[in-house]
Order: sequence, then C-alpha cells, then structure tokens
Amino acid sequence: MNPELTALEKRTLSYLNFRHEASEEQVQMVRKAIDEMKSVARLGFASKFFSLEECPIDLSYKSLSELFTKSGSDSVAFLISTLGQAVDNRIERLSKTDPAKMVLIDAAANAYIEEVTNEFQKRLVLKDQTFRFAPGYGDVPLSMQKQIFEHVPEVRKLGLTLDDGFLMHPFKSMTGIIGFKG
Amino acid sequence: MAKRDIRELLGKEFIVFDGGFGSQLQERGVPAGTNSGEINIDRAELVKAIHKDYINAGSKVVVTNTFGADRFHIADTNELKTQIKAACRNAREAVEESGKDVYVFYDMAPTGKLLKPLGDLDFEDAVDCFKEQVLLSKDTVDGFIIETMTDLHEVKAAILAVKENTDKPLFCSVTFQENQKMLTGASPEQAVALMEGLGVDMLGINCSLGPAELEPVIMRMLKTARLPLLVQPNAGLPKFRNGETYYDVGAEEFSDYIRRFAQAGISGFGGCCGTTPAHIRACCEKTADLEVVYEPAEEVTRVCGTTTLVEFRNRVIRCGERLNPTGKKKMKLALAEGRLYDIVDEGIAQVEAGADVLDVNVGVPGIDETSVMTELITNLQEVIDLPLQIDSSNPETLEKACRIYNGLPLINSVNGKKEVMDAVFPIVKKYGGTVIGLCIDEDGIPPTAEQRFAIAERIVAEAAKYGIPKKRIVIDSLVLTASAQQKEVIETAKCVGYVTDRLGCATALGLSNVSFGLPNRPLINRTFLVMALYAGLKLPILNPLDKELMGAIDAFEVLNASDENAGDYITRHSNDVVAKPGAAQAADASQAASASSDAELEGKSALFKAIVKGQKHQAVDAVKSMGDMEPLSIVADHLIPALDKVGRDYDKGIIFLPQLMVSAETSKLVFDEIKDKLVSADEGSSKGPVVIATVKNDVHDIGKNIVKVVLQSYGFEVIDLGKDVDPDAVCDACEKYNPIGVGLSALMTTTVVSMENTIKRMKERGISIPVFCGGAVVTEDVVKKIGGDYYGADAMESVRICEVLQERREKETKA
Repeated sequence: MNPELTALEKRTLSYLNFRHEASEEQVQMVRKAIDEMKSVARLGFASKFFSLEECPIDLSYKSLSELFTKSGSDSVAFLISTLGQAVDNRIERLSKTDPAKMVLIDAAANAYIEEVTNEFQKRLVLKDQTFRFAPGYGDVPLSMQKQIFEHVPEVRKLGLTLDDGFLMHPFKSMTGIIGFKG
Repeated sequence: MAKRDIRELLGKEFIVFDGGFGSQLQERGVPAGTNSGEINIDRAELVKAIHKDYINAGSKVVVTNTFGADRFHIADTNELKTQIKAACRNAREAVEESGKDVYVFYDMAPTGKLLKPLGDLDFEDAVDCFKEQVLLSKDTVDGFIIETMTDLHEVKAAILAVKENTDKPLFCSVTFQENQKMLTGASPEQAVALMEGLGVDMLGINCSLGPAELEPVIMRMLKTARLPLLVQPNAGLPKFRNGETYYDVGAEEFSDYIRRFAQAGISGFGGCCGTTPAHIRACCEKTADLEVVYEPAEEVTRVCGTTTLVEFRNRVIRCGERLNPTGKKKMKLALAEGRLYDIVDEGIAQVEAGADVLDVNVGVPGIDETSVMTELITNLQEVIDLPLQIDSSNPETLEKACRIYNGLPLINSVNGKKEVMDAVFPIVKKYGGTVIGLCIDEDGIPPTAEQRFAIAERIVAEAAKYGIPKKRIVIDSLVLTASAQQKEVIETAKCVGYVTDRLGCATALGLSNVSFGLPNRPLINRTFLVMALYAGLKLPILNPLDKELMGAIDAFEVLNASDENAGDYITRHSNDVVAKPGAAQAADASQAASASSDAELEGKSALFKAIVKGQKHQAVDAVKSMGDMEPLSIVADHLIPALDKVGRDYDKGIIFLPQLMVSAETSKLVFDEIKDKLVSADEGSSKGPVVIATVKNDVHDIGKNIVKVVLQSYGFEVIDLGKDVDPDAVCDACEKYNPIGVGLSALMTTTVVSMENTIKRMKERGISIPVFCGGAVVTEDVVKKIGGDYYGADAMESVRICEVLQERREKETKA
C-alpha cells in the first residue's frame, strides 16, 4: 500500500476492504472523509484500575484468566473511549442523503476510534500489558458492559449509555480490558 | 409544613441548596462504590447527619439522597420503593430535628439511558420511570429538582412526569460540557427555552464543570432566561489519582465565584460533585450583603428542534411546506403505503435547500393520522435537527405529536372558533409550543384587514386565559386567491402590518394559494411574498426548493437591513449565474470518478460512462437525451452493463465500496427517470419487491442501507423496515407485500439470535418466502444453522441472490 499514507488512512482503507494499491483519487476520498469525520468528533476517555483480587467486576471467564495468567497480570485496567454523539448523527444523516459518503465516514470513524484508543492506552504506560480485550470476545458476554458501566461511573460523563442489548451509545465507542503488572 | 411556598421566594431571596453527597459519605468512612441507595435504609442516621451539616451550613433546601433511584438502576420494585421512602423520610426528619425553616426537595436524576431514536428507551417508558418516583415521594417532599440532565428529550419526559402528577414546585437543572453544549448537542439558550416552555418554576445548571468553566454558560443562560436561575457547580474539574476521582477547588475560591454570579443575576446556588458544607457556608457568607438582582430577559417567540433553536427576531424564518400530501400524489401514496423514509428524504431536501422550520402534515383519508404523525416525527427527528411545525386539524393528533416531539414545536393551528381554541390551547400550554392562529372564525374568513385583526385579538385574549403569552402565538392572516378575490389579497398584507405593529405577534402566511389559477405562478408568489415581508411577515410557509422564491427573501433581507453587511446574501449568491434564455447549464462536478481508464470506456454511451464514473447529473442528462429509445433497452443495453462493469471492478478490488455506491445511486436516479415509462411499457418489468430489515435489538444498519442502495440501483423495489425490527413486523410486511425475498442483517453475535427468531417466526406464521442473511458476524454456516436460505456476503452478492429469486418468482407466476 502507498507508503506515504498515515496509519489512520491505511486503517480506513483496510476497513473499506480495499486490497489494492489505492489510486490518488481514492486516497483523496478517504482523506476528505477523515477530515470531515474529525471535524465533528469529540473525543472522550475514561479509565479505571483495579487489582485482580479486588476487582468488583466478575472476570472469571476462561479466556480472560488464560490471558492474565500468561502475562502474569495482577491488575486490570478498564478503558473506555468515544468519538461522541455527533459522529453517529452525521452517519445517520448521510445514510439518507449520501450513502456512499456514509460508508466512507463510517470506516474513517471506526479507524479513528481504534487509533485514538491505542494512543490513549499508550499514555497509561501499563507494565507488561496484555492485548486489549473487550466484552463480547471469547467466552466473555457483552453483558459485562453493564458491570463496567456500574463500576466506572466516569463513563456517564462521557455521555455513554447502554441499551438493553448492552450496546453502547454513541456507537463509535470502545471498551477495553487490559491486564498488567501493577 | 406551614412554610411559605418556595415559589413566593424566587427572585427575592437567594435559594440556597446543599452540596455534594458522595464525598460526604466517603468522609464518614463509607467505601467508594458502595450502593448509596441502600445507605438510606442501612445507615439512616449517617444520611441525616449529612443533611444536618448542610442545614447548619446555611442550606435552605436539602435534596433527598435519590440520585439514580429509578427502575433502570434498581430493578426490584419493592427495593426501589423502600429506598425512596427511606430517603425522603431521612431528609424530612433531619429538617424537623434541626428546627429550621428548610425545604425538602426530591432529587430526580437521569435514567442513564438514551431515548429513541438515539437510544432504545421509549419516551413513555421514561415518563413512567419518573412518574413512579413522583408518586412515591410527593407526599413527603416540598418540591422536586430534576438535575444533572444531559439530554433535553429526557428533561421533557421528567418535567411531564412531575407536572402530570403533582402541583408542587419544580426546579430543573441541566449540565453542559466544556464546549458549552449538552451531551446530545443542545445549547444553553435552547435548554432555557425548553424548560421555560414546559413550565418549570426555576431553571438550573449543575455538575460536569467547575465554577470557572461554567461561567460563560451561566452568562449565556442569564442573558436569555425569564425565570430565576440556580447554579450548582462542581468543586472544579475532576482529577484522577490512583484511578479515583477527586476535586480540588476549595471553599474560598468556590464562594468567590458564587458571589460574582450572584452579582451577575443568579437567584440561587448550591454545589455539586466534590462540594462540602464548608463550600455552602462560605457561599452564604460571601453573599450575605447582596440582594438578588433578578431581571427576566425580553420575551421572544422561540421554537426548537433536537439541537437547534429558532428565535423570531429580525430575520425571516423559512418554513418548508412540502411535507404535506395535499396535491402531491407521490406523498399520498408514500403515506398510504407506510413508506415514511421517502417522506424523510423530502424533509432533508428542504433542509439542504435552506428551510429553517418544516411543516409536517399527514392528512390522507384512510390512514390513522395520529400514529402516522407520531411515527413520522420520530423518523424526521432522527436526522433533522430543525424545529418542526405539527400541522393537523385533529386535536388528538396534535396532542400525541407534541408529546413525542423532541423540543418546542410550532403547532399549526388554532383559529377564532371557540371550540377549536378550547381544544388546542391546553395542548399549547402543556407542551410549551408556539401556535399558529388563523384569522377565521365561525363566520368564515372576513373580507377586510380590520375584521381579521379583530379575530387575531380574540385569539390572543383567549390564549391569555390559559397563561399563554402572545409571543407564543403567530398570526396567519390567510392568503386568498388573486384570480378569484383580487381585492382581498391586499387586505391580507395589511393585516400582517396591523398584527406586527399593533398586536406585537409574529406573523405567518402560506404563500402559494395566492397564485392559483394564474399563469407563471412562481412570479405571483414571489411578488406577493415581498409585499408581505415588507408589511412584517416573519414566517412564510413556502417551497424552499424554489430557488427564486428563497432568493427573493435573501434580497429582501439585504434591502431591509436585517442581513447585516449582506453577509448571508453574498455567501449564497456570489456564484449565481444570471440565467439567459436558452443558455446551456453549467456542467456539475461528479462526486467521484472511478478508477476505470478512459480507454476502457471508449465507444460506450454517455449513459454508460456516467454511471461507471458516478456522475449523477450527466447520467440524468444522458438518459433524457435518449428520449425516443425504448426504456427497456436503456436498462438492458446501457444501465445493467454499466452496473455489471462496476460490480466486476468492485469484485476485483479495483474500485472500493464508496465508488460502487456512487454508481449505484447514479443508476437509481436513471431508473427513477424512466420508471414511469417502464411501468406503462410492461407491467411486469419492475423487480421485487424485496423486504429488508436489521433484526430486533440490533441498531447497526449501515450494512442494510448499503444493500438497499445497490438493490435499488438494479431496479429492485425495496421495502426497508429499518433497524431493531420485531420478527412479527417482518412477517406482517411479507403478508402485505408478498416480496420475492427477505433480507435480514445483524452485526452482533448477540443479535444473530434475533435473526434466528425472525426466521422461526416466519415459519410459525406459515411464510415460505426465501430469506437471505448478512452482516459482519454472519457466515455461510451461521445461515444454515439458523434456517436461512442464502448467505449474502456483500451487497453485490445480495443482487445476485435477488436476481435468482426474481427469476424463480417469474417462473412461478407463469406456471
């Protein structure tokens, strides 16, 4: 893929399932979409740390305990990030007016939340951290979100809510569970 | 409780609330994260001690420890009831034991869920959740405070729940982010307008930010508020230490700010997160020598949508008239068939053309007007943030639509008939809207301006009896047809002048009637518009897609000096090409061009090229120039081959999804252009229909929308049921439309279950229509397991599946 592309541009292209070298035109489309998406995004982050022994959130799932054991974790970080409601609104509006652009903005937003969450995670400087796990992976049910929302009350200040299916609103939001040595 | 009603004190003495509760609990050794609701029962003495500390510090109002005491946070009804009762009792006993003249307010906080259409909570479920709290507490408390609200739609639910169940004082306090907006996007001015419109007793702002960051928001609220303002900041911005939150603005600094706010005009204060009795004591001391300087702002006509506020000041407000089936065959059909998304498209087109407000009318015989209106309003408000004008002559429809409406609506309309005023004014009063008053009464439309003005006066006087101020009435002097009642047209314009100058109400007019029966109607409409604007017209109801009509308003605003420095005029018109008769239209730029080289396109028709390149206007022009050609051969020889090329390029990865979609949209426009001819040429040539839906509990509908666009581009009629669709709704649609296939989409592993349930339900109801499934987590295996018929890997695959289904249906029909 084109070497001069930023990580965000590359990720957006890959989320669009693009497998070839992108043409100048396609790169321009992606760049414009990223700019537009960024102009409405309003980033929000929250995190909370617990020692594994005292964590009030039930972590007794096979995939999580294997992960923690393998890396020798004794603590866990919960990390929540969001791009804010306006990105969702923009995508919803475009679905009615300009579906092609909707697809671009949606991919750009998905790539952006991933990138900014990576950046945020880096800043926490967690020692010997595991990869970023999330509810819904492996045997961990999505319903764990409810516990996370209860025990990380800061998420409310980010404007995040859960619906009955445990999906987060705004959509462009992420939850991460990371084991580390505290 | 022989105290004076606290409402008598508002704006006269400072209403002092209490401060933070959580930090006080922690200070008394309760570990962070302990359920503070249970503490009301288990540690009642401790809760009372906190209340008493605040009373001793100078609080005139203590609030119950009931933040989050609702059915969404506490599922067990008995537990909820016990906690709320205990919290109210604790506060009441603390006041009695203190022997001081202090009020107890019930604290009502957000449900923590987002209302539809942004989230999954039904408006009425939100109202019920708040109502439950009101019923449990109203006999023990002196008033209610709704606080820390982040969404105005939820604010509305909470206010209605209180006002429908008690007459006790009601304060309402909202919270802002650092960008001076609420989480769902509303501005301080909009929050003030909504809370005042819905009839609270005191406005408030609390939480999220410290006093320094709140200052600009407070000033904006004071500038626009007519009711007294209560301010309860946090003790600074939250800081984090060892994963815990703390606040560090001390009592001294905090109270300096409160003093400053008091001098600027706030009428009450308290504290939110991180504040303590010491903060409240310091604030009381610092304001002891001050008087309340409460000055209501000037009254202005205000309406709002989800995130926009429209004020009737010196600018003209353009109301789009096109969401009205009168004289519109296409919209009548869309309403009758329940295709509300087509109507939403028409709404968006008007917004993009520059409308400020949209009129919404669904009056078609044979439909349930109330349910269609409420559903349409929800759909419109999902994507349109402008205020809507709810247009119906049925009071029940008005009431239900105003209730579900997110914001302060315009209500169209009331008139001089006693019976109509009796039915409509209570709705206007309750839901805080602004109503259009028509100058017509039991005797019809009077001929002269004076007589119509008399009706306007009567409407305003009658509204006043309900407590509706004249600024919440917009008078429509009614436009008559120049071809039939030529002399009365000028009376309408005169009446606009009378109402503006003598009554002080804003005015509205539906323009297009004036030209009925005359040639070149737009010219007459435009000229009459300018006459009426000069007389003072504020709300012309018009077709915003009529560029010349809209341009006349822009020009008028320059000449009338309401568009300062002609800024808006220049922005909108600097690229105008003054049309000369017969001049060619300027070519417009395509949204995107494909990666196809020109060599590959050599020898192809203009239509073929335009579709491949996704050039919408060129494509429509090209098909228009093919006038004589058989519509079927346009499809077979140009459109489908072009789409097939695009599809192949997409499959090979030469072009990417957005480009495929631009081409798809382009070909849909071409289809629309020749559709009528196609139907008349051969009844059987339209394809489908195909029913598509994102399944129950899944609200991700991007994939489904892509499939829709691409299917439509191949000429399939698509019935889109939307997202979060109940299995029975899919079955109902199958029975109604007898589609060739049903497409189901699910994004989450958790909602594949809903997909399975939908297929099961179809079988239970004896529906044997083939189902194709798609979505991020769906695979060939999954489809087999849940009983689906086809796996739609992507949008192109869905087209191939539907082509097969179409063929099968045609064979069946022939057989």
